Amino acid sequence: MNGHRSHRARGRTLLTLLSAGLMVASLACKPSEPAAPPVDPAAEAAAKAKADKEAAAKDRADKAAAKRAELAALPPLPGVEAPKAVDFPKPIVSTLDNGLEVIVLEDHEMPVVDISLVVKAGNIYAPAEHSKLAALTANLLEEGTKKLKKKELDEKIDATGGSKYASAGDELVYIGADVLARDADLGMKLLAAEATEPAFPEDSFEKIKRLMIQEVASEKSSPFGLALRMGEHVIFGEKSPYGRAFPTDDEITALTRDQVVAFYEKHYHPGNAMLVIAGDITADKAASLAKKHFGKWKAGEPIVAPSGDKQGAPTKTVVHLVDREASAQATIAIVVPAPKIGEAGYLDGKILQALLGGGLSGRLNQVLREQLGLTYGVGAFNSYGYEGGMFFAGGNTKTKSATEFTEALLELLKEPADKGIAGDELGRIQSKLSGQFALEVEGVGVMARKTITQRTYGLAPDFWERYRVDIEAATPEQIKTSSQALWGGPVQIIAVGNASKLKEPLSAFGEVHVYDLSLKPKG
Amino acid sequence: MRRLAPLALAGIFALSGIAGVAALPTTASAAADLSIPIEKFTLDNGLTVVLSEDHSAPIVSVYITYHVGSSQEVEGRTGFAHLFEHMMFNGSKNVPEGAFGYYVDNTGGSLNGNTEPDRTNYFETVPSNYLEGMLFLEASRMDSLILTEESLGNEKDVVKEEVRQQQENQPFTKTILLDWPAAAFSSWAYNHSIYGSMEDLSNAPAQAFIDFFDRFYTPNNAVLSICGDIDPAKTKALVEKYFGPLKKGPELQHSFPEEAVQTAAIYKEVKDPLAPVPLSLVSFDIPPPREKDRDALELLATILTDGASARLPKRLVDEDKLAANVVMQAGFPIPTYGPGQLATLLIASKDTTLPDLRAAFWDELTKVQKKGISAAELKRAKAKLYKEYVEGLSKTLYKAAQLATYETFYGGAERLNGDYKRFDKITPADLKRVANTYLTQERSVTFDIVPGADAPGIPGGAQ
Repeated sequence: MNGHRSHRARGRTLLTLLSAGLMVASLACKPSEPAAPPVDPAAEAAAKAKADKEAAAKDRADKAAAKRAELAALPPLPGVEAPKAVDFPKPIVSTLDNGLEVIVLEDHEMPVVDISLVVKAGNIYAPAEHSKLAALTANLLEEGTKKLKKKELDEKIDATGGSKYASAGDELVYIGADVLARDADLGMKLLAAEATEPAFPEDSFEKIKRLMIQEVASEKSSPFGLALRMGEHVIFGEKSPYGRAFPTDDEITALTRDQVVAFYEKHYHPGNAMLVIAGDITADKAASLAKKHFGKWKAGEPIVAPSGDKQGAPTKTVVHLVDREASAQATIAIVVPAPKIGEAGYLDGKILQALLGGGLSGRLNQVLREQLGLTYGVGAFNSYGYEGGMFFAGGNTKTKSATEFTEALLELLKEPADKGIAGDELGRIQSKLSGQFALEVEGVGVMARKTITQRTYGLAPDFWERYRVDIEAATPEQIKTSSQALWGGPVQIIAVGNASKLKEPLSAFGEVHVYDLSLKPKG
Repeated sequence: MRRLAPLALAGIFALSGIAGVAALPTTASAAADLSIPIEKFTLDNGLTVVLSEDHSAPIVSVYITYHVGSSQEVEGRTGFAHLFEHMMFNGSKNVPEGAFGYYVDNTGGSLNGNTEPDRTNYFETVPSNYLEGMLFLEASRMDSLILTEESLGNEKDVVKEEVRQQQENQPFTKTILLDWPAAAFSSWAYNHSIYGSMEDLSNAPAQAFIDFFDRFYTPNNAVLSICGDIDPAKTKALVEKYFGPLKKGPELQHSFPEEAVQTAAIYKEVKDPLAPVPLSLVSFDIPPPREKDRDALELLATILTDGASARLPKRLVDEDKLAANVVMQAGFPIPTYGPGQLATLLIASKDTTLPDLRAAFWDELTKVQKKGISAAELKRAKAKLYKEYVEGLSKTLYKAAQLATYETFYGGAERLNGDYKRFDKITPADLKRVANTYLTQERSVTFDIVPGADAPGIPGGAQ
């Protein structure tokens, strides 16, 4: 980093000398011509600043390209053998008479069973004015059933050494039990009781609401939590259930038991859920336990996911600055709309995510951390929901480096769109993603989640089996086109930090909108 | 038990010197007593190697523990062990700067390192066809590292950014990682910051880092643990090939610092402008891991906080509604293998004051001290620890980490198998005794962290 700084300083000096020399030469050649109109000092300074900026950007890009070429020329690691096949356990699917789909993934390596009931009753199904209703309903499932008090539920599961949970994500509520294989029957019994006959005891409401208010406060206290929520807010729009700002304490406090019961009655039924049982259990045993504990669950009306409120793609680059006065750093991220899983371009996004953000060798860390020393770490990921996806890239940097960091980050993101990606670099990323998949399939819990994703998003039945083949099929042209689709237009810049120190420097990138910690516009 | 050929397994057990394990049970669920194959050998240069074969997924974890941490540093030269956690990824004689991460990333695998007071760990999990490559990379950085003023300078800057991010830009962490250890541990070896002083780092010349590396990052001061889809015989040959030529380092005598028994309660209130809620950290001096009293304290912590039916969540979260969450753990947040700390995090619920929350917490401790705990509670805690043991054997990387820990600190990797049984001999009377001996006001350190803006200065703070 020290070396780089001195190099940049030298670059600027050379540029200044060169401009001065040109000016002298031009004056010497045309002594008799009328004097040039007076130079506007502000315009001159702006031109110089622009030239300096371009020189610095070129210097960064040249150095990064040289480093990439150096790494690409490395000899291969010794002794690399042919990759081994990855066994993807086949999900065995059956349906109970009441419509509940039961999916079993057998894995007998360790005597544990992971049971999850997923219900399409996550946060997007809650009405905008009661955005925490789905979460409150899910959190209350563990507070007691019609036959067992919370204390009894807790004691029974704890006595086995196992654990259970219930929580709401965007689309799904996960109600799960993680037990030794010998306790699968009890685990499923407790889980079924919580999901199918919750008591929603009045005296638990205050406790759970207070905890939820604290959870929101906690999310608001994390720079990353704020940046992520701000990103979703600007990409999906505040009218989308994916783009909501933080709920107020009063909004949570006002939720009632009647609202919870009505939400539960509408969403929690077998046709709107899946039971996934993974681990040391046979498919027959799992199916018979499912029938025993969920067979009497009453069917309900089908539910359609809310949709259609997503805003169009942003038309200009805007800096969205969340004012966090006590920040010791600036958190900077660049977000753009992206395809969701299963859509054309999604896998290209995975490739770009690996190229840019993948660990220490990703382009972002290579330049922003290793070359420029601007950050401890930077990353990229693409998240998605029913309404589409978001590509998020960013990290933390010193407040005074925010401009330099943002400039360099923007250049890095746009580079594959401008210059494309070489075939050998793409090959490296493809082989990396293929290897990563081999690692991901360790543990039956991960396989269960992949199966849930496949079914939740209506992916092709062989989506995961084909994943590696489809990744390998991507071409450099395709990646360039997908990059252009992501970063060819305006981007949204998210910043979290001390606004009094960041607003002015970040205005170089576009109009700056300042928000408070609740993501409400400020000033 | 994972899928393994019984003969191979029997052979490995014979090598590892474990008696009484003749063959595998026929199915996993029939296994009453889970164990894993463990083979161990030592190279001429002193490198101890632990292998555990497991073909359930085509992956392998390579894990090296160096017996050096922040407690081996000397005053005026702090932050070295942690800086090496960065430098080790930077470049060595055969692996140019930036190549280590590049090679590992390209496999699709993951890598990381972490620094503690008593050790530093470096590890990769990759598809098993890259095993030889990982051994080449690890041996190369054990053999030589690029330690120049320039390369060190860059990483010193990254460390400063890491400190800014982890300690100064997140709620609670500055107090928990910096102020609390300084108060809770009496020995300088344990109570100075793992990150070290930024001034010490800036002042230290490259030669000081070279000397530190030559002393501690040697084959005879390390344990290499390899778990996963491996052929033990072939792996042994590869280890010999890459690590065999490395030169032995100086003989080191390891000991743990002595901690004075605390005789008067320590209390501090800290204002944290980033804290979303009040939090109280209450800790106690406790003995080193695996001593009988420590085991009893770990069981007691499980009884008190593990699971929603445990005493503290039941009382503080469900009944009195004073806390949003309670965590109690030994060796947390700073793990030590000498004398340690048992820390409790009490996160207040909305509108609760920390004195009220702490009063209820102490009331529960007093109940244990006076009336002890029930046999059912002890049974439940043992079931939790058994489940934890089973889960610990199901992840390649975690298994590799545990084997390295057992080999470095617990008298041998082979002790991992069935180790949960050591808790069987703990009785309710032991728990009552340790509660009275260790969980006392006199031995406690309390930090109340309350949201507030008038923090007494953040070193190196906002820029």
